[in-house]
Amino acid sequence: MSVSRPLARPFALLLGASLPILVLISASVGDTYEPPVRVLRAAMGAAGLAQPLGEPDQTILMLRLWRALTAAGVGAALAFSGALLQGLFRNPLAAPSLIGVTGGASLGATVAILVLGGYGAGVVAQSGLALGALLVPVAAFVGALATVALVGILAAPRGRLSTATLLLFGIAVNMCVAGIFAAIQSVVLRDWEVSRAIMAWTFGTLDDRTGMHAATIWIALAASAAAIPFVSLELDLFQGGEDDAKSLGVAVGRTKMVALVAATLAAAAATAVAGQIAFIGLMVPHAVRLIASPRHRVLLPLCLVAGAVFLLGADAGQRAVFGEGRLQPGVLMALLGGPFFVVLLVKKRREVGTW
Amino acid sequence: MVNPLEALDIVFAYPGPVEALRGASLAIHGGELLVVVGPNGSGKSTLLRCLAGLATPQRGEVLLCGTPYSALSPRQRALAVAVVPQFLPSLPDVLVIDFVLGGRYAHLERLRGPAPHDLDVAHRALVDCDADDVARRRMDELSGGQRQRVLIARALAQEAGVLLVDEPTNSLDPEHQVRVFALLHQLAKGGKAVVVVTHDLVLCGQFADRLVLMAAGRVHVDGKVESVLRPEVLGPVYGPHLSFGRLMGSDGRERPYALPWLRS
Repeated sequence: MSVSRPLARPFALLLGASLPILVLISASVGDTYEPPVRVLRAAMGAAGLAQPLGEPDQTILMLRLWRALTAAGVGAALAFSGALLQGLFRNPLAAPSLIGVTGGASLGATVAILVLGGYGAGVVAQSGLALGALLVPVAAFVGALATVALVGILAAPRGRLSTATLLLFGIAVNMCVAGIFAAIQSVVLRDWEVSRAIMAWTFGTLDDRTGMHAATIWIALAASAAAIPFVSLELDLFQGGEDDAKSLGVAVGRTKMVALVAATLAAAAATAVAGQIAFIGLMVPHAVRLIASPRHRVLLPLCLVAGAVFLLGADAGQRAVFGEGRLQPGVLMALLGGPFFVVLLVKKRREVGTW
Repeated sequence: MVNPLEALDIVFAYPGPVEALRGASLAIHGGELLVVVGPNGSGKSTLLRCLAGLATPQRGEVLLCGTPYSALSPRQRALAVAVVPQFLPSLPDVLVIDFVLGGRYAHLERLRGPAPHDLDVAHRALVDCDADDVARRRMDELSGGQRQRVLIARALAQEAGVLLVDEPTNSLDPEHQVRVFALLHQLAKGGKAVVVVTHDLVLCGQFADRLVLMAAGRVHVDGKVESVLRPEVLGPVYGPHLSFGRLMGSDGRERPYALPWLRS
């Protein structure tokens, strides 16, 4: 249901073609430049299809490749999640943080960092880096899912999920979570290591990502993307209101549930593997809607590709310009996202009055 | 013959002490333009929502060809009953033809978008509603009259036997009010069961085949226009400020009407 846009097809082709190229370029740039051909060699070496490069090049390039694949997956997941939620809430400013994904993940990650920092069982603190690398993402993921589930249960007495109520409980539960988060931060303020770890997590990072991170986000992404055929036409019809969609034959309750679960899974996995990276879920769907189509059949798949390209490109760009480890992608997105939000509101001021 | 749609003694209460419907029964027939009138708060719109399956009565049942709504999926219901809503958001990004195609949703196979046949049906619906000239316009560019005809066209694209229409002449000028009622009348003559909720006691006099007067959550009177549009029937329900008269209909027969008119 939309105005047709002549740029839709070239835009989709361009995005699709640039994704694999960007993965290679992203792995090429960094403190040392390695030609993309060497990146391919390293990848084939890791897969056992060719002789691996010598060390440390093989390890460095594989780390960069995992980083690139993680970035692509995280960008795709966040944009996809944002597009789903904006369709569900019929509000172009909806984002995964609204229903508690970000707050819950932060709280989960913080608790994990506390435990690792010796505030919980001392045993865990002794067990070293490997467990830490696993524990924080898992705790973030669980925290995100639990928070959204709490919001969902509160918003759906007798199993009927109202999006307006969902929004209000999302805000309320987010406040509670933020309060606990602030309390923890204030208590451990003098513990420099733990405070720093919590702070760093909230900035979002793609440093030191491994195959496990990449696999996690891509598996979650595949599972959420499976929702596309079940919600695309339905979310288009949601734009006239839920009653209108229902009268046209849409199973409104099921559509909301599928969209919500898919959006939560994607955003929770993204936040678990890369920390907080805001605004992709807001910016990318807007750009895709504007350039390609507001129809969810086009919008949702394109957001997957566009989100991947966007975060991958932004991450490669900032590493090429500033070098490794200077500007975390979460910070970069926050810097870009604020002004974008302001411009969006200024352009939509007339509509905003009627929300 | 089984009625295409029937409400059996339905009770519906919004949260709060007052019941909007207190045991309303209504049978709807194909080929008939049924107009539902009544004062504000008499339960007209709630009755329409229950008939549309948008509200579920706490007691009583709505039957579609004898089958209770509770046993049907939204899709099955939408194949038989179409709704022309009173309010919709402005939909700035939606073309008229795509909006009308939305009426085809219940006919689409899962995982598949509209086929050429669906586009044909949507175009025919626009032609039938005299709105094919705006097919490529955006929904937010339409005038009130065009918008109403497009809403009816989408309901027609649903190819349902029953059409439920909520206050279609609100905010339309007199010319468009007449044209909308004439269109609904023509659709009923074509075999559809058309139910219209309205406050218009003039046009319903000219076009309705049957008139239902709601009062206090019940069907107060259900009968021919001649037997309902009368001072002794409407007066006790609406109050004293109505003026009654008769006008020659387009079929050459005299028809009653009632107008709001302040009496000293």
